[in-house]
Formats: sequence, C-alpha cells, structure tokens
Amino acid sequence: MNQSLKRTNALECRPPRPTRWVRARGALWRSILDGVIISAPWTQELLVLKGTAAELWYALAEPVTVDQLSRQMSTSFDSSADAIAGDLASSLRELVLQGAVEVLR
Amino acid sequence: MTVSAADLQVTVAAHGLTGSMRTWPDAPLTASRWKELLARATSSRLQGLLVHAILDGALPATTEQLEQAAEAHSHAMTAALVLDRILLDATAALDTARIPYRALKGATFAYARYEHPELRTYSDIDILVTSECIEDALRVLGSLGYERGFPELRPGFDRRFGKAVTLADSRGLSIDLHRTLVAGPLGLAIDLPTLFATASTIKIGGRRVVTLGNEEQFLLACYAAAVGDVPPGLRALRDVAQFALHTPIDTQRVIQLARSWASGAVVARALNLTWHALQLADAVPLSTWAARYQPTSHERRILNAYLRTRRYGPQALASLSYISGIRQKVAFLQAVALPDGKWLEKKQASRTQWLRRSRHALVRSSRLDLTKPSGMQR
Repeated sequence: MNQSLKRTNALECRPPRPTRWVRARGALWRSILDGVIISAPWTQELLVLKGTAAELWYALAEPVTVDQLSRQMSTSFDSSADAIAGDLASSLRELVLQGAVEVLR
Repeated sequence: MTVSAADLQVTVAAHGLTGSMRTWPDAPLTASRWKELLARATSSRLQGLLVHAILDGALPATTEQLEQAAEAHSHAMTAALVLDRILLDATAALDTARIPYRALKGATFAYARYEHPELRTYSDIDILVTSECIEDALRVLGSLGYERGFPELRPGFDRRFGKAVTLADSRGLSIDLHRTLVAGPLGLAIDLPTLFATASTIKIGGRRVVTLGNEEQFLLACYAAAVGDVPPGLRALRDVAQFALHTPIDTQRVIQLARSWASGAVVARALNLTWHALQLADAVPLSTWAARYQPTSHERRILNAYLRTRRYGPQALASLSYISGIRQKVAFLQAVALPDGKWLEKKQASRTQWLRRSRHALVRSSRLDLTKPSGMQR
C-alpha cells in the first residue's frame, strides 16, 4: 500500500514532458535546389517548403521541442531564439494540419 | 574544342562515378547548346545528375541555367514522390493479401543504389509476382483502381509466357506487374523461382519494401542496359555502373546466374557498353570478366533477336527453345498468331490481318542470320 502510494506521488511530482515535434511517420520527401517536396501520408497533396521552412523540415529528423528548434534555427532567421519561437510554433502547427509533422507528448 | 550536347549528356550520366575519364567544359554552355543538353538530360531522365553536376562545380553554368535544371529536377522529384506512394500502397495491399512480391527498378534503385534518391528519376512502378499469383495480384491491384489497358493475348498467356501486365489508374499512373524480368526468350530462360529464393529490403517512408537479391537486381539492370533500348539508355548504363562500382555483389554468383539464365552475353554487353560509354578507368572483377567474355553461339543468336530487329517475330521464334513441351510450344505460337478477339479489337486489327502479319514476321525472322555477332563492344 505504502509502496503504491509512493509510486503515485513520484508520478505526480514528475514535471510535464515538453511537447516534441517530428516528421510524420510515413512522410516521403525529396530535396530540390531551393527546398524540399513532401508527400504526407494519407493525403494526395504534395507540399513544397522553401528557405527557412525547408531548414525546419531538415531539423525535424528527430523529435525536438520548440525551444531546441528556436536555438538551432536562430542563426538562419537572424534573430534571437525567443523572437522566433512563436513563428516556429505556428509553422509546426500548420505542418501538423498538413499531415507532414506529428506531435509527441 | 567544342563538345556536343550529345557528348556532354554522357558526361552528365557519368557524374560522380569513381574513375570516369570524361571531361567537362571550362565555361558555361551557349544558350542553344544548353537548351539541347537540358532537353537531352530530361528525356534521358538524368535531371538529378545534371543539377548535382552544376552544384558540385563540375559543369559550369549560369544562374539561369541552374534554375532551369532545378525546375526540371523538381518536376521529376514530384513524379517520384507520387510513384513512391503508389508503390507503398500496392506493396501493402499485396502484403495484406499474402502475395509474395519483389519491387523492381525505379524506387528500389534510387533508394538503395545511389548516394541519395534525388539522383535517380523514374516514371513508373514495377512489381514482380510469381506466375501462380499473377491473377490474384491483378485482383488486388484492381481493388486499388489499377486496371489493365490491354486484354490478355489469350486466356492464361500472362501466367505462362508473359513478361508483364501494364495497369493504370484514372490519373494515367501505371504499374507494370511482372512475371519475369525481360520480354522474349531471355525472360523465359530465367528460372523464376530463384527470383523469390533471395531478397533484400529497403525502407521507404519507414516502410519495408522487398526487392530482389543484389545479384538478381544487377542482372535486371544489365537487361535494361543491354537490350532495353537501342541505342542503350544512359540512365540504364549508370545503373549498371552504380551496381558494379558501389554495391557489394558476389561476382561468382552473378556469373553463375548469367550462365544459367542464358544471359552471359547480355551481362558482358551491359558492362562493356557501360565501361566504354562512361569511360571508366577502374577495372573491377566484373568488368574484367566482361572484357574477356566469349559469348556462345546460342547466346549471340538470342542477343541478335533483340538487337538486330526490334520486332517481336524473332524474339517469339527464339522463345520457343525455352518453352518446354510440345503442348506449351503450340499454346505459345497459337497465342502469338491467333490472339483473343478482345485483344485484336483493342489492337484494331482483324484476325486475317493479324495472321498475315504474323506469317510475314515469321518469314522475315527465318531469313535473318541470327548467328552473326551483333557488334559486341570489347
């Protein structure tokens, strides 16, 4: 009984895992000169990302948080990590809607 | 010295290959020569190699030329992604129906044989199934919306003698459902169960796709290079070079398979054409074997059936030696000479017209000196 209680308390005390973003399983893509073409699973539409949006795609090879992405991409945006975090979050949400990116919680 | 666009196109096909002695121009091409090169590279499906030749600094180009090459490449990559999705859907459906398959050429070469898939383009999907499963596979792909454009030559022909059935969906995108690797006698000479005795896998979009063993894939590349087109397609030659130079293949097993499939001359021709056209300086065991290979008279005769005339008559005649049993031979000849009414209707030919055409083809074939060597490059 005591042990069970301890486990529950331990879970409650753990900080919430930050949301991570990654390329959708089953997404296909090809690099082109100025960007990337993506075929998201379950849709017939192809998506073309160029410039920093294409860089965002390359950065999503492994699950990452918005904070990690912001730090990683601040040089490309020529801006501070804090300043681009909002833009990145909205780009990621858009890519999720398009089926190209998935969220890991 | 000015190099022609045709010659430069070959250099593009060799771009990045270890030991190629082909040379590039020192300055960007004039507008007209560039236009010709771009058109040639596009029709030969070398868009990926062209863009990378420019980006790697091998082919000098203006900004406008780079943009045009990139646009052609982007179109090819869009098509490749659509085809990859079709391949994944088709192979998933075959898996669900428990139909063994091997994906061929196209995506399997691009993902597994090239440094990255952007270098190799393709225009359709090729999937091999066993003779016993071809009808079930047609039903499965039919349920995905892929229908055959042409009726069967005669009932049972696809399962017994056919190379492949071409299926297309409402968008016009096609899948070639293969029973063997090549049309005519070479296809009939292949011991088909061996194609399913080995396998390798590639991952596309995280999904496992089954393809032939490395040596069987290499022979497939050789068929395309040696007898697929006359003159040989540059992309097919590049595929042969990718295998021979950059893929771990068992040379002895290749030679053994080639011998048992009556394809020694085909493999030697493919390698010799590749080494000659792409000017590859480095010898590998297979290229050395090919340079010394002496085809048998039987192999020469078969090769000639493909190269000296592109007509079906000589290939049909040569096919007979690989069809066992008199009943099977009669069934084959009957199908070729007297196709089904629906097939003739689609072909817009009457039975009399077709019979006359078949008779002429057979007479022409019998007059051909099929024993002459066919310009093997050494």
